[in-house]
Amino acid sequence: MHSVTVKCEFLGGLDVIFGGVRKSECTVAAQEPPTVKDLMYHITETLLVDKKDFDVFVEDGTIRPGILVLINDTDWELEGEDEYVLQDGDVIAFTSTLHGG
Amino acid sequence: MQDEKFKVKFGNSRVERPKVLLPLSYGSSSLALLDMVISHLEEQCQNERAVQGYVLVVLHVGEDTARMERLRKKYSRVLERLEVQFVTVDPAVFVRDLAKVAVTDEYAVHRTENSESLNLQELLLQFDSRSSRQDFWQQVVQEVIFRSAVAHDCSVVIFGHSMSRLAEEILALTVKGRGSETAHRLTDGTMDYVGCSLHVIHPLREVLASEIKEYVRFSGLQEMVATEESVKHKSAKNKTVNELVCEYFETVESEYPEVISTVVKIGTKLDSPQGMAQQCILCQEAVYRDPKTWLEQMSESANKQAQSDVPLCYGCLVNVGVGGGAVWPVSRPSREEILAEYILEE
Amino acid sequence: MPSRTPNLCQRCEANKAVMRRPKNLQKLCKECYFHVFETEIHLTIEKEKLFYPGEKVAIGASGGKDSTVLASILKTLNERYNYGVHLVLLSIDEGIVGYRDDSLATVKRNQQQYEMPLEIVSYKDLYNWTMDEIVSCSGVKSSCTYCGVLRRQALDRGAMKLGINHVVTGHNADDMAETVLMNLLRGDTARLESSTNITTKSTGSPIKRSKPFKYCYQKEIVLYAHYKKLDYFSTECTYAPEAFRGTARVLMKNLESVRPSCILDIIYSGEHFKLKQRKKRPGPKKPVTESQETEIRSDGSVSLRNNGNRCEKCGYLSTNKICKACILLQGLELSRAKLNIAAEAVPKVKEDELQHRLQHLSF
Repeated sequence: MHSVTVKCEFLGGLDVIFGGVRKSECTVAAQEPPTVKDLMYHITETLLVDKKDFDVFVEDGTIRPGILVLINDTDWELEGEDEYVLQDGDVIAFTSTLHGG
Repeated sequence: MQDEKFKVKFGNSRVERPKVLLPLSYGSSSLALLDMVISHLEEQCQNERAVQGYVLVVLHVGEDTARMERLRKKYSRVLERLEVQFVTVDPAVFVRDLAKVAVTDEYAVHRTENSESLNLQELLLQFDSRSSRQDFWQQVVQEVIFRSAVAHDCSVVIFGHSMSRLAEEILALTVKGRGSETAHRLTDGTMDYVGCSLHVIHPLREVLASEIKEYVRFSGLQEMVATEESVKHKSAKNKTVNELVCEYFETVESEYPEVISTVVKIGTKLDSPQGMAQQCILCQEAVYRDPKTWLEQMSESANKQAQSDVPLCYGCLVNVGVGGGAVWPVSRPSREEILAEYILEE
Repeated sequence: MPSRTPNLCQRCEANKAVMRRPKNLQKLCKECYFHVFETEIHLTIEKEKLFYPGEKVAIGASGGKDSTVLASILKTLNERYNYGVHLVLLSIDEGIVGYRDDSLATVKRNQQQYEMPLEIVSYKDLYNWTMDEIVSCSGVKSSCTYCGVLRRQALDRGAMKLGINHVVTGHNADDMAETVLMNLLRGDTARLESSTNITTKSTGSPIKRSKPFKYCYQKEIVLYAHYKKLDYFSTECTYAPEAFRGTARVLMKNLESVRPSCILDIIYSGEHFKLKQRKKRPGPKKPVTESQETEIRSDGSVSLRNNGNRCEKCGYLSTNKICKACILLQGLELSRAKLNIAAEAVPKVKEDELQHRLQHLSF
């Protein structure tokens, strides 16, 4: 078993579906070294308040388009997206871009 | 197709009969249209003295000759009398006069000579997104259809596009930066192609895809339909613009049933932009505003000194990609060349 | 184990890239990104000649990401390129408890941060209605329609109050592309051709509106706000957008994931949309001159051709006899009257009975 602990941030109004939680520390464990995808499912299982909001966060098995993901302040598109292998202490920020301007 | 020119002819007006080309993809819509046109012709032939009003040429761009044989068998009892002609054209005829077109980081477009000889498959595989490949493939098919119309002396082309398909095209063209093409691609009317006048009609423009599906079921055409690869299981990233738009309409259709007809209605109200246009070196579509100038006004990296030596439309520029390049046919054959090529083929 | 090749910024080729631009997939570091993003907005402002020296410009400020970034960038560019414009923050208080109070607090902080004057106009003051009251009267479904019409006028009126003729808003490329798609999906021919204009002006209004972020991707605006640590407010309006617009938004996000440039592509298409000229039937020539014509629209409004007309109800500039806001509010007043009766705690049965009796009253 591999296990890592990372810091998660829910910004841009995304905290609404996590009961107003903006920052949270998550420990993800998996057979293989855990990835952002594992973290995503971990979040939906542990932090999501209403399971009906699953689709607000996840679509087609990945983070829903429209949610910006930053891995240590870097666009996840440059880090392999949901296949990025988490390191202890990483800061993963999820920002909704869908909310009003 | 209420036009006088398609009506039954009497006496010796046989010579004035237009030849009508029906492109057949073996999708539900074009099969349904074929079925309707054949029964229309049958009806016209019921009167002993009457001569059918037009001659039908059925064209498939592809290699599926087996399916065409099955289709021919299905209509065998009437085909001879109705003088329907079936043609299969290999889309490879599209490949000629290859050159390399490259887009610099400053959006300038250059044409260089090309030494590679690529086949159609290889040409398409140059583009790594499915969506760009599909966009170019659509152009290949359209070109081959119009060339075939010229080669077979057809003055009319009838497409099987349903209302749903037209709505999909209008939205997809918009998304692909090809909004200016909507008017001439999807409205009915005459167009000039290599000096020949072609009358393009979409007879099923008032019919929904779901209605056509039912028609196909009732008329026993189902076994003829080429099953499209299912989109559903594909990951969202691997879908094409058209597939996404099509899915969109399917999901909103039940709750907002008027959407499809609304889009088609507004689409037919569109006109081609005015002003002088250049012709895109890749897709031959009109370029009304140089994409380079347009992109420069919002790009920090712009370099106005860099000049393009050939025009490239916005849609193709995005497909080729800034800093990218592609080998592609860069000219259309002339009418004479088309006729010569096709004689060789048959 | 070989270390992964770090993503280098493709512009300076020195620092680590932190983002990839949706429009050309260029990878940039933070500093280059700031520079490129700001410069491109400057290019748009220059190309479109949006401002003139000495102009007073009101920034429509909601406290959200777009208008906060707009205020920050306009301040930066005004200083960097000496536009010589006077910037003012103009906020609308729609009267939505729990949403607008919080966002207005953000705008008030922005006022301090950017050292700009702030003016707040409220629906309550202008129309004697808060959005909350309107929604309780007309339901959530049409809330965006009301709010849209009222906000437009409120921004205009706020600007006029300040003696300003130019309002800039934070509408970005995503908003604009969404509008282009929505116009197609709704068959809105009236807006189809002009919806991609960077500057608009309603007929009869002296106020010009422009959108300096017309070509800016939402993603880039969010990233800018994030990296600059700007103070913005991000909660969805309590009255969520109408469901149909929501479907178009989802479609766009999906399209963006297969074709990142699609937002600009849609705007490029939108700028080319042109409607066919309606064929005029040659008929007998009418002796009526244009200025005498009045058009009665389907919504009951009566158009007056010449500019400078005033709404008969509120006295505000309008091309119609009665302005759009007043027409909407008139409808509301009727239902408010009903609501008041109900509020007097007349039991339902009694109310019916009362109605019945009223019908039989004779004078």
